[in-house]
Amino acid sequence: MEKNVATFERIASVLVGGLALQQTLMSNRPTSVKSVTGAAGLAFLWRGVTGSCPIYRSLNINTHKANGISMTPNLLERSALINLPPEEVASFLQTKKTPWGRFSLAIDEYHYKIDIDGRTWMLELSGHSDGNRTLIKLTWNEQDSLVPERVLEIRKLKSLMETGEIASIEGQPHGDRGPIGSFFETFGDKLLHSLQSRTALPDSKKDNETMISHESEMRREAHA
Amino acid sequence: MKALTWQGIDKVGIEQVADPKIINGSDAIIKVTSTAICGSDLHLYGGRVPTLLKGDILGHEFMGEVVETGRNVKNLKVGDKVVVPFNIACGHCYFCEKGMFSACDNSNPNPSIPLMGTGQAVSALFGYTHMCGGYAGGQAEFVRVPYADIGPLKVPSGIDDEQVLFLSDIFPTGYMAAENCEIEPGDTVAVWGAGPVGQFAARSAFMLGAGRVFVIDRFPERLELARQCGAEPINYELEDVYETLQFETGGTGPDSCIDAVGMEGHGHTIDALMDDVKAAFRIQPDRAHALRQAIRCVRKAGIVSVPGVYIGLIDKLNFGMAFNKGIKFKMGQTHTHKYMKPLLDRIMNGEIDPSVVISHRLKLDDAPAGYKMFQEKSHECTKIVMHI
Ligand SMILES: NC(=O)c1ccc[n+]([C@@H]2O[C@H](COP(=O)([O-])OP(=O)(O)OC[C@H]3O[C@@H](n4cnc5c(N)ncnc54)[C@H](O)[C@@H]3O)[C@@H](O)[C@H]2O)c1
Ligand SMILES: [Zn+2]
Ligand SMILES: [Zn+2]
Repeated sequence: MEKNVATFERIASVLVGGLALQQTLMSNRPTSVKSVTGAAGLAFLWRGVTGSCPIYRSLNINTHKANGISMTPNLLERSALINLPPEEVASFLQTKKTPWGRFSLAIDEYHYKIDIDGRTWMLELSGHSDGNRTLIKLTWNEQDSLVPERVLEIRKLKSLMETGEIASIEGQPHGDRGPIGSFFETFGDKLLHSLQSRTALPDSKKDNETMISHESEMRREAHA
Repeated sequence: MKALTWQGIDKVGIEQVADPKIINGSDAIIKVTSTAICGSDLHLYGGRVPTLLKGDILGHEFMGEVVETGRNVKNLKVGDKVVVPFNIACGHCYFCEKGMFSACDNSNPNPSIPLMGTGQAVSALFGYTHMCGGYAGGQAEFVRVPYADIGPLKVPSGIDDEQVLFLSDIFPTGYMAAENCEIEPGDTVAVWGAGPVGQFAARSAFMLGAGRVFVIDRFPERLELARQCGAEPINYELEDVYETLQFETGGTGPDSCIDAVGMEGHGHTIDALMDDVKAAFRIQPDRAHALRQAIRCVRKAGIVSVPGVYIGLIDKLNFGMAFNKGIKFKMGQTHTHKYMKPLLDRIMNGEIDPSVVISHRLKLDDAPAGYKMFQEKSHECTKIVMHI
């Protein structure tokens, strides 16, 4: 099935569909109402997960193509404005261990690189005109024509630089999730991650997992 | 431990759950001594805010005693009595450093969803859906508080919880709403909603120099509470709000209007009925009647300050009216951290007794009944506090 729905819309569809389904299953309205909202929920969920919309097809609309990369959250995740001057960002990158390992100097003091599972990532620093902040942009091997997944989550790097830690709710308490809640808890993140990735490069998927496990490892180390 | 969890639309319950643990070095664990139910919790209770999961622990207005601190916590020690702001803020990002704590860059562990909802991800909140970070809330015996050096405010150990609990949210929220009105001495301010937020907004407006404050609602006991601070009540079921406000201000309108109602607004006009239908079918969560009315009533070039929470795409919004009158809008989740200390000083000086808004004191076990009562506004319920 050809994809014709933009990533942004797909995520919105999953959210809307999931919500409709959740509310249908939990509500005590008459079955006639529930079957309508339930069917709508499933349809939205399907549209989001597959990225294919029959209505769009019949109308010859294709937001998947039209939006291209500019609408995907990946791009947003590939740059960050750090609340530290470039010297401090540079010294962090040269001296501190991150969940992904250590960065090293490349080209000049405005470029740093890190190798993760055979892929080289480059961070490009530029000072903000206010003199206090630093814009960092993430690039990768030019020869990779495909855009990799959001493997190096630059936002987390930003948090680490600014606060010394990465926000987390890993393992916090909650009550009984029930079947729907557990579904969303188990697959919600995965769904989101898979929707956010523009291409399904198997090796970068692996990178993602490595990164996540690096992160929890670091957290564990910090507490030992 | 015992905790109040969301179980489905209009349904919460008390469950036995695991105790919270320190996750990051800046965390602290607080043993909750008092917690409250907020108007914002009603949006969750009714299932109107996406990404809340069954089993999530609610509650964002709480205080208690520090029982454990992470290895990086410097300002708190075990035994300290603290009030915790409802937003979670890192204290080091650009926004936190500028005092815009509810716009914190770093506190939300999963910003992808809010990123899509709001264009940029805003700060995390306690007990307020996964879109707002998914942090477990404080309507529980214990709670984990991240960035413990930044948020929690130490209060004197002798002080009664009920005097300081509302520093966690509604007092700063009412205060910021009034501050956003840029009140000049003698100004007239109109406040929609005589709930706890409206009560603090009206009281704060007087503190900041307002000459006259009108408070609009339909519940007599809430209007009476507003009258006690010197405000002039308007019961919108008995009077036409627009006409009354224009008449009382010589056709000028109030200098500023505060919408302390938010998305659960009620009304009898056609726009309100259409909102009701959409909300019933869950097509659109926001019922913005009060906001529309505030825009209509405010004076030319006046300010509409919106502490009431909205989350979706409001339609039938009289934006042309706002444009042609040259209105300034100010709104948002409160930058609570910024206001806690100065407002604690006002409480200590005896300028205000925040406990006047409390109508019911319950045990945590009775919280489910409390939610129902607060939603229905039955039993003259204005604010429920649970002492644990
Ligand atoms: N901005 C923030 O950071 C922040 C913090 C706390 C609460 N809030 C929001 O503030 C709002 C009020 O909170 P609360 O705890 O006082 O809730 P509440 O439910 O107790 O009070 C709302 C009041 O508005 C009244 N009302 C409804 N429709 C009205 C109308 N058309 N005209 C006038 N009054 C009307 C109700 O009768 C009720 O008394 C909520 O939306 C809540 O989410 C925002
Ligand atoms: Zn609140
Ligand atoms: Zn911050």
